[in-house]
Amino acid sequence: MEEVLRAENISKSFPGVLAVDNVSLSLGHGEILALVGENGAGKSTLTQILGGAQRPDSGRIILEGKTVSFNSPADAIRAGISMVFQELSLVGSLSVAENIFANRQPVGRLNNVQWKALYQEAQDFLSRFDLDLDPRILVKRLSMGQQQILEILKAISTHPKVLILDEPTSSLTENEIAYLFQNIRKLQEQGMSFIYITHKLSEIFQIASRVIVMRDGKYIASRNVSEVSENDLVSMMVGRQITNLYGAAVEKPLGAERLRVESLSRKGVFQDINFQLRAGEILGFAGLVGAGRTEVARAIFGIDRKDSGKIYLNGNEIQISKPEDAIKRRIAYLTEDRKGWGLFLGMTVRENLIAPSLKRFASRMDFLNQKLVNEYAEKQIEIYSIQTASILKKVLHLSGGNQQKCLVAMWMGIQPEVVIFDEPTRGVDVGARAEIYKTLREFANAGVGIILISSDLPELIGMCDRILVMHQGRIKGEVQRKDFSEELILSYAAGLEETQHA
Amino acid sequence: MERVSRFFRSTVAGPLVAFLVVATFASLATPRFLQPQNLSNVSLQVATVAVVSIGATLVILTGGIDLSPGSTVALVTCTLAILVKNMGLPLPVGILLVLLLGVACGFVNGFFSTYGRIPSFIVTLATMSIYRGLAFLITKGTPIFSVSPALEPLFYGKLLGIPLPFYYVVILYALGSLFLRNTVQGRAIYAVGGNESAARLTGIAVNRSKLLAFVVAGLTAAIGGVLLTAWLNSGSPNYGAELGLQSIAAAVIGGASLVGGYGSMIATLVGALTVAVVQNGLNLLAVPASWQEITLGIVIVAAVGLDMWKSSIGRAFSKLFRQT
Repeated sequence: MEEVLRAENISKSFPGVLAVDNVSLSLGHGEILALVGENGAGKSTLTQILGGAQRPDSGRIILEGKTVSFNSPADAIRAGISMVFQELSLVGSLSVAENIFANRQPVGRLNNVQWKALYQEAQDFLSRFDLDLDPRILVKRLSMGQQQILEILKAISTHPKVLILDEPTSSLTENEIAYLFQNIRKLQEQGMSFIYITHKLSEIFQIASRVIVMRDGKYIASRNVSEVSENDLVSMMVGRQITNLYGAAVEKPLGAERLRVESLSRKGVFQDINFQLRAGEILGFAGLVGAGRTEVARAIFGIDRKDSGKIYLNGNEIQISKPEDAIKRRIAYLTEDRKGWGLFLGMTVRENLIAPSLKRFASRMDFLNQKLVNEYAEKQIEIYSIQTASILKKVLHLSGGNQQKCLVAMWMGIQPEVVIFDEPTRGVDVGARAEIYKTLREFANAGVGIILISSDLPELIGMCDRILVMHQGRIKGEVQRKDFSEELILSYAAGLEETQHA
Repeated sequence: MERVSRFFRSTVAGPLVAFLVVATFASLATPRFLQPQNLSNVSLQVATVAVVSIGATLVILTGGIDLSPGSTVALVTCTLAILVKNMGLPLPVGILLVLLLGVACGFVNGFFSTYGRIPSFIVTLATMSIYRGLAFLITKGTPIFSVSPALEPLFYGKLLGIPLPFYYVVILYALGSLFLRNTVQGRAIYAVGGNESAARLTGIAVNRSKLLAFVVAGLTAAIGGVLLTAWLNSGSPNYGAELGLQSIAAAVIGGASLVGGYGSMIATLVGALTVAVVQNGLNLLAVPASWQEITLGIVIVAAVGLDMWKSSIGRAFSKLFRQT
């Protein structure tokens, strides 16, 4: 097969991470190449480099025999590489036609937009893809799936030699996926080449001819799809040793039921979530990004409303309609979005530590007792070994690990009975991770019920007593500690179990 | 009834209804409102606000905001008065120079809020103060009267019995509308305000588009300033204080979204007319200035509210008619 695109020794680092480590790949004319790996394996960074959205630190990109270098996605598009980004890049206030032909509308002699020609061209283009869509309608009126299809068509309309698709099916229905695949095959026959990133391994076998596996920023393997199984791919993706960073799991009898959730649903987000959490238990939630884990946690904590379902705390049904209710019941939620939702970055360590439990330090006139506050803050930074020059330092200036410890200390102040940790170690260095794990275990041993949401499988396997795996808004599987394996969890998370049984 | 609910969903519905309500009120309250003499007065009163609002709309479409046009107007009136009266330059030269001054004011706003990465609210808050300060500086705080006898015909002149400012407004809005609707650069302004990263990904020069909007805003503020100088045949650092907020009001009454991406020239014109009619109607009724301000505030909230709630109003309408 004639080669259309070659990447040689691409590397890219961000502060603290080597996101892509000396990766090379080659793409043939009319080939559909799948790119897989766990979250953080470097797939997205690599494709952003190919698509001009990032510049590599080193390495070469060769398109049809010529070395190219892109300063922006627009450069890459002109050269013949289009990328469909995960976040939608459509303008809601403009029409379908204007979005497809953004910045290259048909124009007259005075650089005036020729509307009739624009709509006609858009109509022709859409009907070539059998899409029954009014080109005059505003994009904000389309469904998520329609928008995602439109986004892909917009990229196709630039007649790229190479089209990069990053999780293109994440918000498509089964019919829309079938439609997309059909059109990808049609374009492939016409000679277009594709790089296809996906978490849904089953899609690879439907659409791709070759697959490349990445892990920790490195190129691991390239295989013809006909020569691998899904299980092969999973073990290549995982391929890591589990260390004892997580401390020894103490065999302990679990206590009484702390939290029970019955048929919790939120339309279009998660359905029929049932689970029980016992005192002293660490219950893991595994799943891919977008599987609905965080959303379940947010609903339990009262950030988002739920459509139906019941929540019981220590055997009694409780009503939670806002976070305040949850805090009063001593349920804590430590958000995955530490900087956006979790901490008051511009405020001091002291102000952050007391934030969820202000009332404890207030006099009857609602004045804060400064002496109490200072003592408490000093005590917390010692217990949670937060490394800061003083309690008056702004949280902004702490390292990621110390920020996370600060978030933990802040919520432990409400003396919770149930704690939901959402990605507690994302962006946290190994030393601070070990301390966070230690804290988690101590709390579990003291009888707190802990839910641990994580995309880091070794972390879940190292820490949890039991793991629930979510896939597309549902709990797809439950794995007991004795059965823990990354392969099993990943296959539930990819929704594979279902296809095997079917 | 489909047509009724579709009307409520269209973009000019809110501003148009608000305008009609205000105009109906005015004509019911005083018979003088609809007399030709008064309508010609309205067209004089609306001219300055309307012209300044063109620039305000462009800036708001890109997702920015310009608080400074009132001060640009003041600076322009003073500069024009000094150039023509004190320095004796011919009027056309003076006008050309102050239009360039307006472009420069707009460029400064645009440059700092794009390449300088300072939010446009802050930049124009600062220049609002700076430009007016400059106007005080060059006049030492005293207004300059009787600038030039050649000025007044520019404003009070008539063509076919209709005051000249009417033509200025129509021509400038036609140009603005053509630019926004029918040029690639005009559509780029919508794209930048609608989704900046999407615009960048499609190769639109985002900063240049925003800068252009501010430069045009400076230019239209300067034109407004020239009109005001001609209207009053004087320049003063105190002129135009309300124009900044009124131009924003005209745009938002016209349905422009401060987030960017939504709005049109015609809708802004309707908005500017609404502002002018409120003031004119209340003037005719000899309502004190304090109540005029309060009423204008209520009209802004009502007009924008109507726009925000129009889809639910439209739904309620269609439900009502389906039941009967």
